Amino acid sequence: MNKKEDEADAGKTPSYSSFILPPSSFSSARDPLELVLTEFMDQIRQGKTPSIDDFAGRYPALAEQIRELFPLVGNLERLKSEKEIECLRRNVPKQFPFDRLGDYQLVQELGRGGMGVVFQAFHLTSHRAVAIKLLPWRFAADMPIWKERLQREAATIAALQHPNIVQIYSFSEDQGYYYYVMQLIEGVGLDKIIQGLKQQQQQRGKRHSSKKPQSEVAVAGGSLTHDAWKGFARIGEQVALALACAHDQNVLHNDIKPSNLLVRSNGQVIVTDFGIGQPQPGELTDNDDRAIGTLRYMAPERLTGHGDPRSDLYSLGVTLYELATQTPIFDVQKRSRLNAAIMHHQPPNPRNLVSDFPSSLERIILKAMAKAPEDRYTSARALAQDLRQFINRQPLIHATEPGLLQKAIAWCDSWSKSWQRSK
Amino acid sequence: MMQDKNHNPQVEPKQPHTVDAEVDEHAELVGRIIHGDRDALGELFAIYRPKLWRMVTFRLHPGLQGRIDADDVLQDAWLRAVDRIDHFYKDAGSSSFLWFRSVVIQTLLDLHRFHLGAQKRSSSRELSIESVWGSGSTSSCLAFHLSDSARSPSSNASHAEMTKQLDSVLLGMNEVDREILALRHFEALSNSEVAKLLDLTEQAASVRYVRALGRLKQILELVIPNAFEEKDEGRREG
Repeated sequence: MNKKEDEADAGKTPSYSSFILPPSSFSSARDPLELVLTEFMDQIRQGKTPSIDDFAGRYPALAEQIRELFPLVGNLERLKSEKEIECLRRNVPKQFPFDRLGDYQLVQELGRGGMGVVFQAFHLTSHRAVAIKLLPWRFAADMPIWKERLQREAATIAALQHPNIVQIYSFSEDQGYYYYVMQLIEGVGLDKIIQGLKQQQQQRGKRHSSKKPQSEVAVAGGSLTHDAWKGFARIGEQVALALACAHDQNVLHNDIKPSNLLVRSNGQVIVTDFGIGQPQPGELTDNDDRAIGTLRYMAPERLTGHGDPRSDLYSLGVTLYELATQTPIFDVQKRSRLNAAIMHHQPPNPRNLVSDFPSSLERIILKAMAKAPEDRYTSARALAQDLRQFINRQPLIHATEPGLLQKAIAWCDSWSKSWQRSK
Repeated sequence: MMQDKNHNPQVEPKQPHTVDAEVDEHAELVGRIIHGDRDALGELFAIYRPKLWRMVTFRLHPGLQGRIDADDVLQDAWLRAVDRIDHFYKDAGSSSFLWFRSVVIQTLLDLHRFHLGAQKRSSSRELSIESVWGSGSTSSCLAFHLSDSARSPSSNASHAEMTKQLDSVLLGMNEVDREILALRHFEALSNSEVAKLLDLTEQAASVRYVRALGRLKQILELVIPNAFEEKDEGRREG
């Protein structure tokens, strides 16, 4: 560097990395690390994900402290925004001071979850019936993060064109509220269907009349009995195909569970509520009613890190397990226990619960919901393929029967365990 | 006690305001508020609302959650601000935001006194407001918020246990340091706002913030090892 450049540099804003501060600002000089921390925080608050390594590289003199403290700052900021979201969720108004949004007349509230309230509505001029998902906070405009989440959710789902995925029509703002308009699905949540099957089963048990005609749950046009194996597989296949479409576009659903799967009268399944703004495991507390309902279907790896497409397959596997056995995979009501169960507890095989459970369907479900992602189906399409094979009474392609050797190993394994227990 | 818009005895500025980025930014509104303009007060309140909401959210006593929410507090605070518009010039000093903040704090304090006071009386115990809103309150709020996400999934410690544990350790921290952490992170205040609020120089506020952060890191490592290690961000695809 020649002398001229040196002189020019002296007049510039100081570079924190060199610790040179102009004498005039010395009395009010802020800690250089604090200035860099502020920059880092500002970026996080703008929704960016600044890299700690970049900061360390840009300010080599502070690198050590940056590596020491920045992770904590990142976590404090994350914690704060999670807390805020949680507070907002707790404070969703019971009623809203309007019955119209844009060109839509609201008819009734259909449900609440994640970060929105869903209404049934119709277009004022065309009278087309729609569903509207509303961000239920008036001042959401002041907090761009939620508006952006909702907008991103709408844009993401809108990009997925699939017969088994809910259609999004538009995203708008009215009276300071943000919402998007989507297809209204006249269907029943799979959770309700499972509940119905379970009740029918119980009544059947009470009457001690297992030989009487099979009990049925009306799925509007058709009906589903407690052992409608192909019917269950058809539901699973449609969800798997919807997931394949989403995964192809790098979109994870993140919250596959019975209540997010709507079954129409013609048997068509529609996947709703892509969990783009859904609570993270860490955002849920014991007091949160949704905690159990959401966690139960969550893959083990999602509890500790973030998931991949196979995490959605796990959730679908657990959903199918519950649908086909009418037994929840873990019957645990405490969040901490549920966490432990998801991580370590192996639920009973369907055939141990239901004696006439088809073994190939069992293999499909168990493969989908294997604890280790690498033991699951490698793609949603592969899962859909096996379900189709099952429906067509064809041998499975992916969840193949264990070979003789594997059987022998499994047998030895269980024998040695029982032998050790008996010792 | 609303003053006539056009007649406000406190309008005459005795000395010019200190030049400050924040005041400058909203100078036009501040000028109108000084002249008793309620609309301007409303506009400025709306600008600060997210920040104030954040503050209330952080400081609302866990025992009041479910009974009153941040919106209720801000609604009450707005009425109080309107009542005090004549004091704006005198009290707002160099930061109109901190004026609003103090109005909200006072409202919050009254609400705590009212709700928790009644509750404690019914259990025949005298309420010491300090126990709710003293120097310990920031610590317990911090502990309450920190413990929630600090739990690792495999940890069986309950939220209450963790809060208690954290609270007792955080209480050992210097009060000002603790406050600085709450202000910078949970209320998202700037260094200069923190300095003004705590009556420190910007330099002192800045140095103390860095020190407090280091101290918090040690404490967390002690209470919840590994809980605050860097986690992979971008958990949501979508």
